[in-house]
Amino acid sequence: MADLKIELKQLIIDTLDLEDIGIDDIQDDEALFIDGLGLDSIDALELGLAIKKTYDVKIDANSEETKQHFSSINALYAFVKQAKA
Amino acid sequence: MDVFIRHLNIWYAHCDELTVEQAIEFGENEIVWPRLDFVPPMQRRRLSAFAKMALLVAHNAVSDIKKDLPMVFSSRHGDLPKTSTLLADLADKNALSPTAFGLSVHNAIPSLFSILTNNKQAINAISAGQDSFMMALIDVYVRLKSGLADEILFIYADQKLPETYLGFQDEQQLSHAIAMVVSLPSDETNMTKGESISFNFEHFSQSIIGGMPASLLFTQWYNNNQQKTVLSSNHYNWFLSKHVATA
Repeated sequence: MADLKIELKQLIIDTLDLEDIGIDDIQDDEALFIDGLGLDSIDALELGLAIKKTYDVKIDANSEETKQHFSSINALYAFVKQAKA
Repeated sequence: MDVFIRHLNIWYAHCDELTVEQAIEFGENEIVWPRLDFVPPMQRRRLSAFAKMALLVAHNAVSDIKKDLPMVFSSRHGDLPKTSTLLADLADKNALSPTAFGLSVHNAIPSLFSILTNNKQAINAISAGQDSFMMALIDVYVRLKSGLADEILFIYADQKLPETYLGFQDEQQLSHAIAMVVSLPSDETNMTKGESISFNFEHFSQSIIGGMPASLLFTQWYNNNQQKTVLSSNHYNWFLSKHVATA
């Protein structure tokens, strides 16, 4: 299922117009927001929408869990895999 | 109404090589939008073509000015390529892009500029049909005359209408942005490079179709040797004249 991680990275790059960043620049365990990749709250909304559209999963906008799901590629991978199962 | 205008600069595709007329003729098939090297990459990635050209001229207009200026922004249609995409998404019952939505308000451009330059001065955003450029100049004049500001950064931008709206065009289409620094004429401004102008208007109903936008006509007049000109819209005639230096 390593492909899903690459797919998620590409989705992040395309959705958020990260022109200068490649798949290899995003680490699986690195923070996506603030530290690490440095995404912000608008990115979170944009990315949430893209994940919802692409994988047809439900995302609760205000829960603490959602924050956790979007913390890194590893967390996002686990969330999408579980939601689709 | 008298104002002193300096640092007027304009951007349109190929503005280094083509006149406005030639650029309109040339069309907009392969446009290279400004790169905006002064904007950090993480912020630059969200900027539309409309934002890029407007921010470029704003940046150029104040590049040697140390203080933060209040801003008046004007555009007849705003970022219509973006707005029309949002409207199409709404019509198709698609979810709206939060980024596009957040930057679709009419004052998004001066607000972005204020964030990028850490400028906390007041901002007005104006739209007034064919009179968008001249009405905004009146707003600038009123703000100066009120004594709330000595100098104002005036930014104007309009992009070629998206395909869906081209059937409604009543002016020639050219994606362009203009910025300038405006103050009231004074002894001091007499010594500064720029142009003092007078303008006034009369109400006049007429049907003007296929003319050039006032923003472009104004800029052409500002840069040529003609002392006076008249700009006409559907509702007004605008009389412009440059002050002649007295020896």
